[in-house]
Amino acid sequence: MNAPAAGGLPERLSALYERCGYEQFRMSKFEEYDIYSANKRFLAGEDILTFTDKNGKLMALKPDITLSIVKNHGALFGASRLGKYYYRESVYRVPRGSDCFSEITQTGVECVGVTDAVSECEVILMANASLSETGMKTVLEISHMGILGGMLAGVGSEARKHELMSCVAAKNAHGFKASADAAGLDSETTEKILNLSSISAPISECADEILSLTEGGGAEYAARELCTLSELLSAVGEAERVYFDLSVVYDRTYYTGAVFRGFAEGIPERILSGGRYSGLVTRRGEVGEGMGFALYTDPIERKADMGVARRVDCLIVYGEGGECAALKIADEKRRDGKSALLMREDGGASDGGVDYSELIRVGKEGIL
Amino acid sequence: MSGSEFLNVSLPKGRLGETVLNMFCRAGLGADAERGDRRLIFENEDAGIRFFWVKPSDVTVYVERGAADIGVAGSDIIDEYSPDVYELLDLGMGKCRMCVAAPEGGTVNKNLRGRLTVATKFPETAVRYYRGLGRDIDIVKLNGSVEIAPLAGLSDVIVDIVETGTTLRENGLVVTETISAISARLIANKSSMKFKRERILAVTELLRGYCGD
Repeated sequence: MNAPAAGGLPERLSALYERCGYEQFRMSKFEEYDIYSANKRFLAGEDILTFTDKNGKLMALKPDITLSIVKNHGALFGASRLGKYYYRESVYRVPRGSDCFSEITQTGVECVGVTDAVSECEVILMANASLSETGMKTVLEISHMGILGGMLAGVGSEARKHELMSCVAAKNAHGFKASADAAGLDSETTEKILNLSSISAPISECADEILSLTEGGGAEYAARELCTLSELLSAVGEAERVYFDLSVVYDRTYYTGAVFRGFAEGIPERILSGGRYSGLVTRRGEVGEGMGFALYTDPIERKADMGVARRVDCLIVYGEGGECAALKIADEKRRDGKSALLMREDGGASDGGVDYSELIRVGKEGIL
Repeated sequence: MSGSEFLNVSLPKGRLGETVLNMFCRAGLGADAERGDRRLIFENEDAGIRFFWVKPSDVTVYVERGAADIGVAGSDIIDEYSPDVYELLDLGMGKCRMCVAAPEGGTVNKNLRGRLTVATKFPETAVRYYRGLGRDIDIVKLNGSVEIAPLAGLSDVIVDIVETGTTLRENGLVVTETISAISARLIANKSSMKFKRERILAVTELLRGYCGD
């Protein structure tokens, strides 16, 4: 397995997005809480760090970037005009399995406004290219919320629909069959969904099968959109690298079209998630839509750092009386372009915590 | 072989885990632990499989966090903790039920006055069940001996796993509602499923064959 190439990753990603004509979106750590309360189900979790500003306004340490981009773009240009942005920002959320807030670094892109198949294909290409920049073995998988949405349209109960979608998301075929039975879903549709769930192949290889399993029903348009995406991806030789997987399921309140996520070998959770969304309500009451993704760089950087000792060119260990000489030597080394770490004699330099090419010990008499 | 080349399998300590390990052994994929061996990790290097014995309620943690690629966990644990994993197979083993139980002859469960106090080791399951009924409850989270809670005046009812019902009966409780059927499930880490898919599917089919699914 390749070691992740985390060093310089943010810079390489920025360069990638700028080559695609995306402009950087910068924002403050704080955002008005209103925007999140109106779009709670879009957020990754319910917990939001809030505070009351000096002007009495309720603010939040942002748990999400997309909403801010949609809001600001809509305010400047209107919700329907296309805008292409990338960002590298921190968000503040309670990670899954934790009971504390964390600062999470996200890099991503948003193509906001009324998108078309080309701009959507471009977002998916950038997602795959972002995964490639990690230097790790990665997989990008894609589905379309309209497939399940269309095939389960006849299920009257929202709770049952949610249960069925959860089973698909968990590849829980036995649970799906039981829930489908309880929901009164016809056996033909149940079988088709189970067949779709068993597919894990490049989109170019299974687009026809997806279409044949959805033809004539409410999900056909979604399959056709995926086929179009497959053709566009094939045009640039990338369709083999995007896998269809029906278990990519997001909240259907907002995610209405193609949805995708990326994994890297050796990292247990997904490192990229994205999709086509709509229905985001801004303060002006406009409904924002677009397509984007976020790449979670923290687990990639953690993987890159694992087992790698801190490395310097020169370790300068000084004892009593050697302080001035040690500072002078460190200064000379650094002017020569080398990295130099200064450490007092009892500062733990010899405990294996630092890798170095050269060790210099300095005492009262000078270099020892 | 490096850790990433092994298929890492998290098994629950106890009868269920041993039954599943026997299935692997019968297929030539297991690793025999010698009698009295207290190792918690052992492997079959030729087959490239490593097994961990873990506390049953921890299997989902090992799998979700990628320390294990696959594992066997009860559906009660999966329902309680909702781990972000794939659930590939119902092994049909370790069958029991999640139930509400109340003192025999009592009326509190039917009495809608006031909040119901529910003692349980499965607070999320209990909250979800009663939310579905539109009923407000107070949860008393316990770690064991849940059956004595109503007798000790700690709760009105309990939500707990019921196998034969003997323990309930011996403590003067009866099942009033069944929440769900429980059985052992094969679960998989989602990322592992992308990179070790063939091996995981092969194990799934192997276990399916032994379970007669």
